[in-house]
Amino acid sequence: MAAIELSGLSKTYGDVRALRGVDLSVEEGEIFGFLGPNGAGKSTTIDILLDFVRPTAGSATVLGMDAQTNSKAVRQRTGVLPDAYRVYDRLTGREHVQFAIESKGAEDDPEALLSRVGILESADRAAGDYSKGMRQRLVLAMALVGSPELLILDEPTTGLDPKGAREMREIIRAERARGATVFFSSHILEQVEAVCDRVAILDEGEIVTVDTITGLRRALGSDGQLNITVDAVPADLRAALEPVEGVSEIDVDGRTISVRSTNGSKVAIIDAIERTGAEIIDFTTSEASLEDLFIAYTGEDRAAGSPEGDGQAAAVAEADGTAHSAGVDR
Amino acid sequence: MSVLAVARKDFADARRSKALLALGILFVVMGVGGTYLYTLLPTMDPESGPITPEGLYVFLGQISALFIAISAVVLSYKAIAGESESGSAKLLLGLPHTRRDVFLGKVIGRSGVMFIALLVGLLATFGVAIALLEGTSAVGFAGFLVVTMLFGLVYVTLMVSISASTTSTSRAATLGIGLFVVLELMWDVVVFGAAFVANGFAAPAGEMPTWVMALNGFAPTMAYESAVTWMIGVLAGQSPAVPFFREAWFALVVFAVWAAIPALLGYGRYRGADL
Repeated sequence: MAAIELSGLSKTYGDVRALRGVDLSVEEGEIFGFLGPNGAGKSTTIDILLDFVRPTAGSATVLGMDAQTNSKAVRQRTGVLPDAYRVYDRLTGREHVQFAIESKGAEDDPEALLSRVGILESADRAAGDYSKGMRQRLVLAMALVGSPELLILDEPTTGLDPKGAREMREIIRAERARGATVFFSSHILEQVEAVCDRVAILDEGEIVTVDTITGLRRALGSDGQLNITVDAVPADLRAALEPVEGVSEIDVDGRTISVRSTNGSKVAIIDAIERTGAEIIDFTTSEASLEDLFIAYTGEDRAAGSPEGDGQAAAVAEADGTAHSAGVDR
Repeated sequence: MSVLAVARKDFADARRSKALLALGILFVVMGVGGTYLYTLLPTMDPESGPITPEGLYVFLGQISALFIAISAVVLSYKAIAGESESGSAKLLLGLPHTRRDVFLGKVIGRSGVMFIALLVGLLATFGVAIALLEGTSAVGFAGFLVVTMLFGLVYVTLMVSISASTTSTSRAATLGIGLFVVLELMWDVVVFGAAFVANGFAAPAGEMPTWVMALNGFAPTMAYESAVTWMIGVLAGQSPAVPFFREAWFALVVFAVWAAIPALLGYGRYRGADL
């Protein structure tokens, strides 16, 4: 059974078509990334899953139940970290978690949950005095109440520093290991890339593609880059490399040779260089970032063309700065 | 129990916001001050007759109505609209509560604040009345508290319903204050206007028709006064003959109408709304 099943889901606000016939199936037990720029319709989709808003057409099924007619039962078995929420300023962190425990009829220990998200020492302070990152941790703690079968997290790393974002990913993985399905949205590609099994890309209310991260790369035939440092660059380098299948670009900078190629041809490239008699001192690889994939799919440069410049620019900067050091957070 | 979880959370929030403290102080000042003022009446106006606990209930009832009505507006206009506007509704409804749970929980939570504040205010008033007024009885005060609380419940329900009907607190405040003005300050004008129109756009002369008097009795405050009068009669073991629109059953109908119809409309809009 699918954890989430969307069929022809559409939502129109006035004359704005926020969602245009979204079909999507999220399997039980997977971490599913819902990726798209701000305004793509991610939050609208999540709001429909939780019955905050009602679809104009189509249907949404969560854990086998209709998201509209059976919403309370859906939310009983789901943990939610919404977007653009506000905490109850006057209630403490502990009271927030207790309210969630009471609401779900769960048996959790508030302190254990607050400790798990790293804000136990602030448990008895009013949540209105929390920083944005602490609020995000608090609401995550509320979402974890009752060990839900499904976690719906809308932009979960908003307001978190890199350490907080990493802890968030660790919790997401631990929840999946426990057996939960995790559905989370993000406009930050690196976050999705670091933790998801599968990804859907949403743009302007439509699903652009759904695939695994590696599947996406393969489908696109995306280039990866191989950086090889040699003792001396051979004179016949280009003649040696150009016949290798998949090679698209060759650059030389000092003793470093950079070769762009489709993934899978790396061994052949290294062999070809060694055959020239050059000695390989070091080499690194970098795979195509999701941002590259995104641009390829939507045909737009998000950094330049985004109406919500700040968030996007930051997202792209983060993606650029980190996606190339693949493997750091895996 | 979902409704009670919401009500408890809401009550805790109101208590933390000092709304309960402020209301409690207001009702203590109102009750104690009103009682003291009432005992001064014979000195200020020699023709006012002797002071009695029954007279105090009527006197307090007239002051309380206005205070309770405006308190209900301030206490309740943000109850639901405030959560929708700020985004805390996403936390509330991300948990397994239906919109009906939220609506009922809010009515109960805010009514609880009103009830505790009234209880504190009237207990203090009772203490002063025992000292100043011969014949003051706990039973009489308990009866007055019940009737007054019923009136408070009607107004809180009315204002929470208004809050449920919109996602904008400024709109909720405007509607709430507007309704307060119409019901508490301008009801005479409304009634006269209706009589004026029914009379072919001419000022009605002589005695008002019964339906006009009944309409006059249809404001919550008028029903509250009728209920206080009825309660005094019950305590005294009398049932004085009054027109039907001053009888207790009519007062109950008026209360029910002003609570139930806005509740159905407000909840109906809330249930169908996109957050």
